[in-house]
Amino acid sequence: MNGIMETIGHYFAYFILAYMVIVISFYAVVMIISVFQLRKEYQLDRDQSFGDYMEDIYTRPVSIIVPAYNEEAGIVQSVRSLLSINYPSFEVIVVNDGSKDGTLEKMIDQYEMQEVQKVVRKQVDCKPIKKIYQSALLPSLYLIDKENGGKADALNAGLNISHYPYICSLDGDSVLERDAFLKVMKPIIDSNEEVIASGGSIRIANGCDIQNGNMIKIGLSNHPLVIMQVIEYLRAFLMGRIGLSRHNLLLIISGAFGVFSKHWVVEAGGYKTDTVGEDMELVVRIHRLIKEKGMNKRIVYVPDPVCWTEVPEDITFLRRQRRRWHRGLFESLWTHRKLTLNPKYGPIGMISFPYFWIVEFLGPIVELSGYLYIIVSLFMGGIYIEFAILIFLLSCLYGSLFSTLAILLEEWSLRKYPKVSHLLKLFLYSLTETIWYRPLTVFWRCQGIWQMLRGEKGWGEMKRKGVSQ
Amino acid sequence: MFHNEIGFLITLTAALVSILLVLLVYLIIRKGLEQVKRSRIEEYKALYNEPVFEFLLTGSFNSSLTIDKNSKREAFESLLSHYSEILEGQDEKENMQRFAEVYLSDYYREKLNSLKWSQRMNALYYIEDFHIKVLEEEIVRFLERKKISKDELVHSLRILAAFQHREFYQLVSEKYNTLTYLEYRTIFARLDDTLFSKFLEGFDELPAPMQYALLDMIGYKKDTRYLAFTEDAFQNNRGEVRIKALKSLAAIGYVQSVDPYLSLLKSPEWQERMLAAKLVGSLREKTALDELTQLLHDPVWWVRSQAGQSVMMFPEGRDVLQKVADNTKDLFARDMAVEWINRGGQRE
Repeated sequence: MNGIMETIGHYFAYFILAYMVIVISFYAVVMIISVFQLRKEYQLDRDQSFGDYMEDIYTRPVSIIVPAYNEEAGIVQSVRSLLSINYPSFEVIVVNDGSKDGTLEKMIDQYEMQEVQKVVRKQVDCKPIKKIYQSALLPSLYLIDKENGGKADALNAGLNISHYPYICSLDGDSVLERDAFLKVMKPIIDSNEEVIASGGSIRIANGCDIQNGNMIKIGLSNHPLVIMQVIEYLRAFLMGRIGLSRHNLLLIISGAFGVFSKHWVVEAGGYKTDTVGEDMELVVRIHRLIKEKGMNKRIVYVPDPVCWTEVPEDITFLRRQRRRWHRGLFESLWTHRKLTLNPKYGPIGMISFPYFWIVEFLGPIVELSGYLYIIVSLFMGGIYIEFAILIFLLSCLYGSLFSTLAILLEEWSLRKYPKVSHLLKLFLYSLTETIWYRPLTVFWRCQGIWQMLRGEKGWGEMKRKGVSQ
Repeated sequence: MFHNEIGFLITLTAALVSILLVLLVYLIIRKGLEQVKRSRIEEYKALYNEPVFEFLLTGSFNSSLTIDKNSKREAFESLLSHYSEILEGQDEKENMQRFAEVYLSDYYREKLNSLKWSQRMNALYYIEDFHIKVLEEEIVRFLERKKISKDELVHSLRILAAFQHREFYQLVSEKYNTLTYLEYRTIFARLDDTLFSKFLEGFDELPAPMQYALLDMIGYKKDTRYLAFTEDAFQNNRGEVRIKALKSLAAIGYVQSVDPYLSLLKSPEWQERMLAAKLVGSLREKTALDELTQLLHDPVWWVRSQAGQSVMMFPEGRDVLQKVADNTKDLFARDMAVEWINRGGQRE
């Protein structure tokens, strides 16, 4: 009996170890691709003179859709910041998704919104629209009042109202860089519309000085949870997505900021309302559509930071967010499970999907069992201690060292944080990731899986305090 | 049992952590040095701002100037770059060119040979911005490098176009004739009338992307001297060239005789309907007003929108749209009519 247990124990350890080694090698490859990409553009003074593009930009106007549910705290500032962006032709469509607070009244008051009779071309399904308003001050600002149907539904409603060939979904409380649209539209224009969706880096706004929706000074919060999230975002964007985008393997364009060709979104059927990860699901569906139609289209990611967003500072909200994300990930993968290892879908099916299943989705379970293994081993002694040490060392590589490297990579290439103290702080915190932050998020993600298995519904919205002063 | 592995991993981790620490120290030092350099550049900029501005305006430099430090050079670079964006006058631009040729051309010549792609690109940007014409031959040689990236190639051609290089037409039509339409457009945008006309003379022999770019540029320049050429191009071609020519005619807003274009209001291609609507709007062609109003019922949003805008250009446009808004059962047409009544039609 003991012998069997021991064998199982050993093989389990081997399994965890092998898994970690594979994942680490994968990360390393992706990271190297990113380093080369960043290295090339290192110290380039400017990305492009946009003067040459003005004419094209005029022919590619963008509809910016801002879904708002109980956002009275920040909606007016968000819209104001949007109206000052540097892009020649765009419209802003705020969708009030049946808010219970004063979101609607605030908008009407501030921008003199007046009801207009508009025909709605129902290209994708959405809940009934009650009224449509247009601003008397700014004709390109619309407000839709509709019945509550969730974020995806609100985006669909905005999609139906939008006039322009490109749409951008934007979270209510994000702050855009002034050149954000020029930057993300550039690949679309350059490729002569071979690129049909494009997203940019999201950075964290907590700790920055933002006034009236404009970034005044980049700063770093003192809150450990926020600092860890800064590191996490940097790592995900700098290392993961640049590498993936290079080879058209990108499965996520963050819901916080991305531009899509409306034609393709409509073709794909709009945002899906019964998933919590509508942003990822849409990208996967578009990828699938491209392959099924056999067309040569791409989805890209721009490493330049273009959008600043607020992240939770409170552990409760962070936990909810992570559970929700993990569920969204699963729903997207499950809905499109047919793509997994299906050679018909090319690299998306053969590389991206297995990667997201194995590393992103199942990773937390393996990691969690790794942590449990370490704890149990400490009581068992003997050979188990050695397993435990091995697992711990590997998870240091896996968690901390890659994060630290991401921090250095950012300082080496993009250099957004102005002070030496910022760099030091990020560096030191990133080294501690394996000890506390990583296990926490891994645990939450496993909780997300658990909730899903039990079929729980419902998740809290994030409470925002508003980034703008 | 695992002593070897553990030993290996500990060594690896330790090695990696030390490498990271070294990198950190390097980056911190670099950041510190950079801050020092930054502030030195700012000092130089404050010091030389006035003399440089004075020089750009008058062309005479009082103090004897030597660029002996990198930070000083970068200060000048940044000052000039700033003024290159805001100065419009011909004299000022020539002064800037003179200044850059004297003080910065050697530096950029060196940079063009840098091993780093980004450094070479930066040099190209500044050579174009400051119009450093003494480096013209240098750029021609640069083009002939064995390994040259697409960005460098396009940018070099842009510079030669801006310099109105003597053999530019031959160079582009014979050697560099496989670029994309957008790339040609940024290149052709910099040509003066003489060189531009040379391309128009050879129009029929040029590859399609160049033809598109040339027609686009005509629309952009809105120059009636090219009107006859563009109308011919419209008559004698099919497909994309025809559409592009029509687009430029619509942008110019004038044609010799409107007759050949009226039937386009009923074209099966929506782009043609839209562009024809734009053209008759600019011409305020009375005989087309009815058909134009009909286009408010077009299934394509772009056509409806353009029709609304074009109707508004007529003196009686507002009344026509009002009538549509009051009477039609087509909600889309009504919507568009109301929208343009509200907008007032003055927007291009």
